[in-house]
Amino acid sequence: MKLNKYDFVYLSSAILVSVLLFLVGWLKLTGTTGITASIIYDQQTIQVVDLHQNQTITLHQKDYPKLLGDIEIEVKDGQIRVVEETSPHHFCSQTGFIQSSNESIICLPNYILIKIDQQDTSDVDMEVY
Amino acid sequence: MQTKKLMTVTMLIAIAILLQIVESMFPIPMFIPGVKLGLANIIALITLYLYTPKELILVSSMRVILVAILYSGFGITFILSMSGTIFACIAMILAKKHTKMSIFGIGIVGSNFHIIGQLTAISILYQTQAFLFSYLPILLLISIISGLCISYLANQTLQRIAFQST
Repeated sequence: MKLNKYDFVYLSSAILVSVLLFLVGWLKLTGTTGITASIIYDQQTIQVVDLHQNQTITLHQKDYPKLLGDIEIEVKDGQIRVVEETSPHHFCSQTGFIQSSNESIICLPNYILIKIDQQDTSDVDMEVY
Repeated sequence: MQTKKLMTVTMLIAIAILLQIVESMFPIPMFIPGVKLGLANIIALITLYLYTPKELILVSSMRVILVAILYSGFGITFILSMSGTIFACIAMILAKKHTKMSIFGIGIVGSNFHIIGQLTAISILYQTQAFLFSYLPILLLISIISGLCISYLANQTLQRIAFQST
């Protein structure tokens, strides 16, 4: 048995639908570049960083006991990245620089989340697509 | 004849349970969590082509419930598995009845709607629409590939079963 023309009709429409969904998502989810970034440790915002002030922040293990080791965070030209951390797979330092509000650096082993704050430009509380 | 059918359906349920448990022990290392082939869908396809939609629903629902009892428990895995299976079964039955698609098309329909059912359940459970654009397109594309593999395997099996039973 081989694929017949009805299979191909379904196949191409399925591919079309997923490509369309992907494009719509890509258009809607492109974020804006932010002015500040929040560093969240164990679900609490511990620091809000100005992204246009180049600096290096170090979080020490003795201040935040759930960290696996000291974490070094670098802010440069409106971007932020994790330079040095201790984790099994180093996902968060491999993420590199982020600058847009739809990006985030997540380091679950260290309970660390860094996200770019969205600048509110309208009165809408939240948009749901 | 009735006994033979009963035995075959029972065997199919047993194989489906085995395939699902064994498959969940070997996760596919991919950049997206939760991607798997869905080997149990081979059995669903074979059942649909050997018997009627009634047997397909029986085999699939028994498989999901028994795997939950034997292995994974009635947690979120069960809800996801059940919703995906319900969607896939309904879609496959409708597709077989109302279109002229071959077994390959039916298999792809099955795996596509399995994904759609699971993501619908997740979206309802977590009250979010975020998966619709970020996760669904890529999963749909992957499920087309896995659906093709599944239906190829089911087709090969069906040919050998037909050869044996004559």
